[in-house]
Amino acid sequence: MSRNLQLLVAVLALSMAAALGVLTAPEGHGDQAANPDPLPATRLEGTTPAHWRLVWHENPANEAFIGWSTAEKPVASAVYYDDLPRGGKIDEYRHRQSAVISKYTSKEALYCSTVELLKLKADTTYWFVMVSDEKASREFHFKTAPEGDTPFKLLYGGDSRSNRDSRREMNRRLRALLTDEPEILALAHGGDYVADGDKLEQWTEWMSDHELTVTAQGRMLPLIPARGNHETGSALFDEVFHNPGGKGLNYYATRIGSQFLLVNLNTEISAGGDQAEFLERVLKGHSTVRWQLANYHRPAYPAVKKPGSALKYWVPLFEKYDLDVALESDGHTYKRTCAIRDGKPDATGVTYIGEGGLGVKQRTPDAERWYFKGGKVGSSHHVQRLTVKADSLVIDTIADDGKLLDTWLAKPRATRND
Amino acid sequence: MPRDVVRDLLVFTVALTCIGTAWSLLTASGPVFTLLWINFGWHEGSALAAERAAAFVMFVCAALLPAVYARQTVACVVAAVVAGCWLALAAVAAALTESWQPWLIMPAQAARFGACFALVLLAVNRWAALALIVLCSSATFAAHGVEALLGRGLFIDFLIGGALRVGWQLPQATAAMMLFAIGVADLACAAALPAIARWRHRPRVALLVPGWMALWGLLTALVRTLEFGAPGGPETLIRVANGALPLTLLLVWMRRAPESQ
Repeated sequence: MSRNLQLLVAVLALSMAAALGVLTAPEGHGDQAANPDPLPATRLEGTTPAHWRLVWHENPANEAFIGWSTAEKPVASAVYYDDLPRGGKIDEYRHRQSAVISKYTSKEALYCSTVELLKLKADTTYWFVMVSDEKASREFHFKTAPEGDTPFKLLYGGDSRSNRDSRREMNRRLRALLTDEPEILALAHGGDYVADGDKLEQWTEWMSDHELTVTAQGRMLPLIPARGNHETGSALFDEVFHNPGGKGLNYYATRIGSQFLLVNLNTEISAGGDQAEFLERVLKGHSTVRWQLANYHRPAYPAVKKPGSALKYWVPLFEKYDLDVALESDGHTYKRTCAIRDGKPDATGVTYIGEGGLGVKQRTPDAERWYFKGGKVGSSHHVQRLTVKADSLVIDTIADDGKLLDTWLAKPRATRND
Repeated sequence: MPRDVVRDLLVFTVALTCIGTAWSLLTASGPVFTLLWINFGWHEGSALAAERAAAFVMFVCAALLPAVYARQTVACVVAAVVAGCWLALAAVAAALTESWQPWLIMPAQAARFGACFALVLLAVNRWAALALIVLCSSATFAAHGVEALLGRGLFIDFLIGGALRVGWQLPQATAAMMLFAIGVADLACAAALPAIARWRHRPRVALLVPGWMALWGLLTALVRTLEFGAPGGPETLIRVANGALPLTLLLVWMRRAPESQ
C-alpha cells in the first residue's frame, strides 16, 4: 500500500473513530499516577502519546507548539483543541491541526509529532488532546498569553541536567506553583536540560520528568527555551522545542502582553555577530515596553565561573537600552547581583538573576565577588517566580521545599516612554 | 652543559602552561572538578580540594623547572611528568564532561600536555622528543581546524572582536567565511608538518609551515586575553604550547637546514 493511501485510510479511520466517539482519551495520562517516581521513564507503547511539551516562541498570545513522542511511527497525528473543555471526546473539539511526524535524530527508534497551533485567541484557555493513529492522550489545557497590559506571573529556571531525583522534585515544585497560582503563564528555561544534548535517552528522561509539571487538572506549563552549553550543536534541542528562533540559531524575542519583553539568546553560537545586531534591533524597537528582560545560559556576571561572551557583546547593549533584568543560568547556584552599569554598582544599572537550579547539583557560590554586595547568593535548588504588574516587577527565588530564598522588587524605569 | 634551544623552549613553555593552569584552577574550577563532583559524586569540597592541590603542585612545577632543568635532575623530569599527567587528565575529564564534539578535546589539548612529555623524552631520546612535538602540534592544529570548519561561535567572536579592535565592523557572514579558510589552513598545516619532519632534504621554504603555526598558535593564545581581558590571562598561558611547539621545530629545522643542502 502506498504511503498516501496509508495516510488516507488512517485519516478516514481517525475521523470515523472520532465521529463515533470511541476515541475518548484515557484517564491518568499526564498525572503522577501514570508517571510514578520509581519509573525510570514514561512507558512508551505503540503510538500512545507521551513526553508532551508545549512550547512558546515569539507570539504566545496567538501561537503555541505542541510536541510528543511515540514508540512507533504513527501514520497520522493531530491535536484536537477547543476553548471549552470537551472531556477528551474527540468528536466534540471544534478544531483539529495535523502534526508533522519525524524521527528524533538518534539511532534509537523514537518518533516525534509536532503541531503548530496558530491564530489562537489571546488570554484564553485552550483544551486539547493529542492523537496518534487510534491512540489519544488525556485532555490537557493551557492558557495563551494576554495581549494587553495585564498582570501575570512567569517562572524562570535553568540547569535541569544530571540529577533526575532533584529534577523531578523541582518539577513537582513547578506543578505545585502552577496549581496554586493560576496566573503563572509559562516557564522560561535558561538551558542545560540534559548532560549530553546529543543523547536521546537523556532527553527521553527529561521529557518524562517534564510530564510531572502538568497539574492534576491537566494544565500544562508552556516552556520558553534557551539553549545551554550541554546542548551545543544538538539537533535534538530543536526537535524537542520546535526550532525556537530558527534551527540552530535559537535567539528570539517573546512578547507577553503589551508591556513585557523577554529576549531569549543563545550563548553557544557567536554572541558578537548577527545575534548582537538582533539584540540591539529588538531592544531599540521595543524601547517603550515597560519591562525588558533577557534569558540566556552562560552568565555575564557569574556566581562561580568565568564570564561568558555576553559580558563583552550583550551587556553594553543591555545598559544602553536599560534592560531591567538579565536571567542567567549555568552556575548551579542561586544569585541576584546588585544593579550594574559600566562594570560597577549603579542603581540605574541592570540586575542579573538566576544561575540555574532546576535539578543539577548545587555549588557553593563565590559570595565575595563585588557584584554580590547588595545582592544575594546561595546554594539551593530553586526556581524564580516573576510577578509582573504595571507598577512593579517582583522576582522571588523559591527553593525546592517552597521556602522563599530571596525577593527583589523593581519599579518601572523613568526612561520608558509608554 | 651547552645550551639547547629545544630544552630551553620546552622548559619555558611548560612553566608558563603550569602557571596558567594553576591560575585558572584558583579563579574557577576546571573539568576535573566537574568530573569528580558531577560524574563521580564527590563532595564539592573534596573535588575542589583536589583541584586546589593540583594548582599548588602546578605552581611548584612552574617554579622548579627553570631552577633545575639545566642540571637535568630527576626533579626536572618528575616536575614535567606531574604537569603532563595533570594536563592529560584535565583533557580526559573535559572530553568526558563536555558535550560538544568531545572527541576533539584530546587532540586540541595535545600540545599542552605533549610539551611536558617531550621535555621528559628529551632527557633520553632527542629524536623521540621531536617526533612527539610534531605529533602534538599536528593534532592540536587539526582539532582546531575541524572546530573552525564547524563554525565554532567563540572563534567567530574572536574574529569579530579582533576586527573591532582596529575599527572594522566585521559582518558575521564574512567572519564565518574567514573562519572556514582558517580551518582549511589549520588542517593543511597539520597534514604538512609530519611530512616536512620526514623530509631529508628540507628546503627553506618548507619552514614557512612551522613558522606560520608558531605565529598563529601564539596569536590565537593571546587573543583570549585580548577578548576577555585579565580573566583570559590563564587561558592565554595554557595555550602557549600551541605556538611554542611549532616554534621549537622551526628553530631546530632552521639550524639543520644548511646541513641538508
